[in-house]
Amino acid sequence: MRARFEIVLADDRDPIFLRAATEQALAEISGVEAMLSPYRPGSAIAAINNAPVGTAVRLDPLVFGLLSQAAELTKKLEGAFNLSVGAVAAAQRGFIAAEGTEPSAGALHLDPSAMTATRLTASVRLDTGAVGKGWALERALSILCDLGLTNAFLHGGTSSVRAIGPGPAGRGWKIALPDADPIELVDRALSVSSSVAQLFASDAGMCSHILDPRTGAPVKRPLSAAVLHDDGVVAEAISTALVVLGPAGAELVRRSFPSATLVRLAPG
Amino acid sequence: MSSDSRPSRRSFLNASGLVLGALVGERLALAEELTPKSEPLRRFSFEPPVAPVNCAVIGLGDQGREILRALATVPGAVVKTICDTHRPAHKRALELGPKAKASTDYRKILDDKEVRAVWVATPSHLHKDVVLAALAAGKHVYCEAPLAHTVADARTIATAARKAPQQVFQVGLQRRANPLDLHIFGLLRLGILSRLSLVRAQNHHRTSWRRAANTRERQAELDWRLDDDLSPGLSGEIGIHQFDLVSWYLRKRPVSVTAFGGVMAWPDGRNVPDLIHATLDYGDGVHLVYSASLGNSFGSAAETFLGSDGTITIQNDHGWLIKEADAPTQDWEVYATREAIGSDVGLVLVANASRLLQELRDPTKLRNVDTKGALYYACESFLQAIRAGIRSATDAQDGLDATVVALTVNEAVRTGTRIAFRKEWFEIG
Repeated sequence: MRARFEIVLADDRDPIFLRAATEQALAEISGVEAMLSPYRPGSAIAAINNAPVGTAVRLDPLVFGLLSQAAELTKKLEGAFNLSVGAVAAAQRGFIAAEGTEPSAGALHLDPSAMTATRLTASVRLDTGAVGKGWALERALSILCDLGLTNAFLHGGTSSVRAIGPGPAGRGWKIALPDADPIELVDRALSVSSSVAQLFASDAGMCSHILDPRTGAPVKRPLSAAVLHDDGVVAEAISTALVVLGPAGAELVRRSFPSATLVRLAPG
Repeated sequence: MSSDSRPSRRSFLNASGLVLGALVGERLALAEELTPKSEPLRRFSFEPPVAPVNCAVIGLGDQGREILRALATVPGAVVKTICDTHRPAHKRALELGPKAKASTDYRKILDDKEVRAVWVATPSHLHKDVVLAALAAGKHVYCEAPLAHTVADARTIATAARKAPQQVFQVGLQRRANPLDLHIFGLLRLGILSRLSLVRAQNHHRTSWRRAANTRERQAELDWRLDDDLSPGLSGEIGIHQFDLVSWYLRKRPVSVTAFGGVMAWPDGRNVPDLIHATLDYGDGVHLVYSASLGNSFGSAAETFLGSDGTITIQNDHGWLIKEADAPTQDWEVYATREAIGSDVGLVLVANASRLLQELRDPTKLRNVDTKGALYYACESFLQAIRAGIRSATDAQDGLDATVVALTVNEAVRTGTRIAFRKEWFEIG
């Protein structure tokens, strides 16, 4: 995930207890990083990416659950979100040509009975970067809640935010967004995606780190999306898909995710 | 060192199991040609089936959950039951073993005839009762390290394990099952560093070591590592794996330890030191210089073996060989990946290089990304020992040795003294 994570607790209990609680929550985030990073020895994602095509990789139930949820989101978002297209990983391996790389949607087979994942083609490079931060924040939040901490703000790299409780002033956790009114977040996740937030150089010039999974090409239009949802993973999938789909995707999101709130969808 | 005592290049290649010679260069090129770029799936590959073994995990804290995570991917491991006296701990554990039944009473688990293998991951001061009961119930037992918080309890456990030779008893000294550590063990045994002069090791991690809980009673239970009477200290909780690695690599026990420590980073009323320094004398002029800290993360966990022909350093399941300028050339090194280690250049050490090559995969590219983690391999080897009816990778003697060393280092830290190890401390009754 390669992002700085921070936790803010609005709570007047013993600071030693609060520090211990945040250490446990941050340790969970580190654990998620260890499970999902394509670059970490022993990570589930590295194991899938490095396994020969057609070889089933056994996963622990947590990672299998995340990949299954992501596969469902891929269907609901009509292919505009797909973890099988690892943009950053692909770029670093030089896979992306000017015309785009081979689309690999549906090329990862998940077997719930054996709890395995199998790459069906060599072009599949899993990268959970699109939803990893949201999942890490959800897991960290559950630890805080189990400890009775119900007024907390967590973020990863400022683009993924999770809040619970009314915040320190009692009106929600206030968040400023560029070119939009501030929002007061209560018991929800916020995800912000932008096609120009991270760029990499290719033969075709500077390209977005977000790929259109349907074509394999980097997103060309400068667009950013901010989405609220009760589940950080869903919020991140939707905001990523909206950057791919553009304004036309707003209707799909309204239809498929009635509980999501589209805060911003604008150029830049 | 005379040329007679140094292994020849040919004998090194033959004995190490590495396939990294001129032949490798040819085969790597072949591998790249044959690697499918984007080929539709025509057939699935399957692992050979293994006999299932019903398992139970007792103690569902951090380590217990890590064991469950590992078992979820170990072939043939069927987690039937999980146990912790603290019922809320079941929730997170069941995420990793959703088909398991949860219990608050380990004796009920031991009464279950279908459970054959039991992992004991309770706090170390609670190991003894659980392990003795599990052995008495005829279970194969995997006991986390250290065996116990006192040498007396550790010896009681080791004695009981030895008296049950039909049951596999494995201690959680997991690095002995880890492919990279095994690979480096082989290199050292072949004398790649020539004369070893010094070992440095550290485990630095910024964390308070305190645990949060909803009640004071639960808080006290969880903070056993900060309880002077119960804690094996930094040396017992984290140092033990590194002391064991060094003793295993050197194939000897230390002669004495000199140590000191204190509460430096977390002056919150605790007495258990959060910073320790220890020097373990292994005889013949070889010393292990060790430090562990909860106040700083720089360098995290690492071991460095310094010899007259070079240095091997291990960090986060990665290993490098940094050669001295006048050291002999290894046949394989021309094909090895080189990386900067500070101002030096290290040759990347890759475990299972020959297997990767057989799979038409480039070991220099895969490095150690292929690993599944030391705990996975330890759990896998435990189940393999049960199926085969053979001795475990780390038996009662290994466990007692490592526990005695770690607890003695802790005692030296507490007293700020030099302690000489006595042979009888390591004897199983």
